[in-house]
Amino acid sequence: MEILNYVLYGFQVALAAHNIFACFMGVLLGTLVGVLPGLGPVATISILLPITLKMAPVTAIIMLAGIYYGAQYGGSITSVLINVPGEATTVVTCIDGHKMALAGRAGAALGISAIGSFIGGTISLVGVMFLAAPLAAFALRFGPPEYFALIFLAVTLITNLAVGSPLKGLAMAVLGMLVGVIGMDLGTGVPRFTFGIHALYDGVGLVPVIMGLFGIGEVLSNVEREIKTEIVKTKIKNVWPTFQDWVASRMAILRGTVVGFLLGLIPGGGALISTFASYALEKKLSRHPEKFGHGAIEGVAGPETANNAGSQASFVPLLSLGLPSNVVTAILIGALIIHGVEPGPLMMKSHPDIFWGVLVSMYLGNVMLLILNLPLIALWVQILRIPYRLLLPLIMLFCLVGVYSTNFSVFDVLVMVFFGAVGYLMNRFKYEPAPFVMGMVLCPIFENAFRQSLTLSDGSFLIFFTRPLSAVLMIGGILILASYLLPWFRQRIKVVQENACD
Amino acid sequence: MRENDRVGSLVLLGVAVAACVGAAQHEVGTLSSPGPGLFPLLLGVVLGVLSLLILVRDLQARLAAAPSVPSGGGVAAFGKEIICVLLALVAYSLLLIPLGFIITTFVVFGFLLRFVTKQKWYLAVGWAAVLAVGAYVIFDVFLRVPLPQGVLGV
Repeated sequence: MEILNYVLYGFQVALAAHNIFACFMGVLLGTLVGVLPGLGPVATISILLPITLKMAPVTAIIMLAGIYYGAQYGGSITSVLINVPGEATTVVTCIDGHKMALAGRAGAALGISAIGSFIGGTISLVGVMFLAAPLAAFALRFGPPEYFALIFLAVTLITNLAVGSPLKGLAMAVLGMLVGVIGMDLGTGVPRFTFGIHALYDGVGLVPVIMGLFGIGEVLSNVEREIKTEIVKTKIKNVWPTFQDWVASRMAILRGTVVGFLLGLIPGGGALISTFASYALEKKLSRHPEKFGHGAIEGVAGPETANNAGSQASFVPLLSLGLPSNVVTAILIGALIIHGVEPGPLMMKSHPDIFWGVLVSMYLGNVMLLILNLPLIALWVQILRIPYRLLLPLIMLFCLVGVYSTNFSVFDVLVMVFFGAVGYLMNRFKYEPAPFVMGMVLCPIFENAFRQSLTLSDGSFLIFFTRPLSAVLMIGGILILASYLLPWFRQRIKVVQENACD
Repeated sequence: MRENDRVGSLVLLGVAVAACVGAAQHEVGTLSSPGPGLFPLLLGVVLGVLSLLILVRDLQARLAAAPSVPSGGGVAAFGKEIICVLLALVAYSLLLIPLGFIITTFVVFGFLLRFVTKQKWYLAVGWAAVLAVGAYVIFDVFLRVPLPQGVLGV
């Protein structure tokens, strides 16, 4: 079988000593930073991004993926032990996980979450392998209109599924695209929105923007917020689940895998929605739903598995279409571009080492997560005790050195500080930074597809609707947009009618 | 706690208008041969529409919620501590090259530790010194990230 050869090749890449080491370091550092209260996976991957920029592209992406998994697991640890979710996807884990910890079963909660993540990750990896390659082959036939429509649909989906107001999310995506426009126009070489600043000719760097929004911005938001680090005072023991735990959670793990994988394929909040969906599903199917919310192990196992399966599934659009489906994959795409790799359906042919190597290393990362975490949980708990006020300056200094070291440019540092302020304001006024980053990353492809389509059609927008695939995608996007506005219009009409009746 | 969308949407509207004006200065071209200005112009228009929608929705919510409550509710966008941190970070960027990494880190983080995280002054000075020298050793000596020497480098 052809795919088997590719998988073997992937193992060959991923098992190279430096790649294994990168994967290990990624998982380790990711967990280490992810465990710090208030820093979710996105902040973790943003802060650690500069470390990977000097590496070969495959190694860098493998390490970033490792950081991502590690940070997610770190988030589960904080959720269970101190009831502080690192990000939205681990909110659900807090519900039953923290209750379990209060009942002295923190070890079991963390153990089942690592094992569930491992099983979910393993199964969905097979799915990713079988889906990504055919999808990439199919996507090779996409022309500019299809790409435009695909991105249009992805952006509407992302803003629709993300937390918070879809209108604001959409505004952030467009704002991100406007920032992405800054710099030399690829078509004509004209500098746009550079304000005569030479450093802007190459565009606004993605690294300082991401580190500003998610690193500095997060730190600023936490300056005012006192995070209570009240750790459950029990010894973490028995991380291996008991027989009853295993019986109770095995179906939850399998269902979580399926739910997570399927929802993770959809751009936008896949991992987020899948955790909630899995929790709801387990509660519904359970023979004792009253236990949920009071430390039911299925309520931890299902969502944690779904979370991991979902984040693996989000690599399908990343590797086969070159499209991000969440912030993390957007950061990975940015990293690929910085390394000079053009993300998209051609990647499987032009950079097979990245395509297959990353897929396989995701699997190895899961194994490492398991062997690293079960024995090291006690160590992570110690890190949780570091007072946040001491961590703030450390994180800031790390961001400053990190962003400076990528280009040795003070301008980049200033850009980071600026976007730190922007990120803080977004947080404060409930604008999501995620669509902003996606907009910024997608902007060049989006604009290119737009301009090429119009040139092809001699200026007619109908080209997006006359080709069948692009028409379906466009209509999907338009329906989603309409769903934001319809309830509002209906309400307006009702008000007008009521007024008329008066 | 209710979100205040009025200011945010007006800022976005301002950005949208600026984007349109900026885009119009480039060659917009025609639809059949789009110039560099067309795409940003459209983005500006879309952002403008979205910000107006957000504004209208906010005004509606305001009218519907509590007409008697005095509007405005002027919460400063940045607290005092945040401004301190931001200024410190800007100062850090500007001083980094002329003063060098060690001195800049010591001064700026000493300030942050003392006034933002409210350490006792001798602790702040101590931690800042440890941070500055420690980070220099880790990054410059071990990880070979050339950090600016500034006045200390001869």
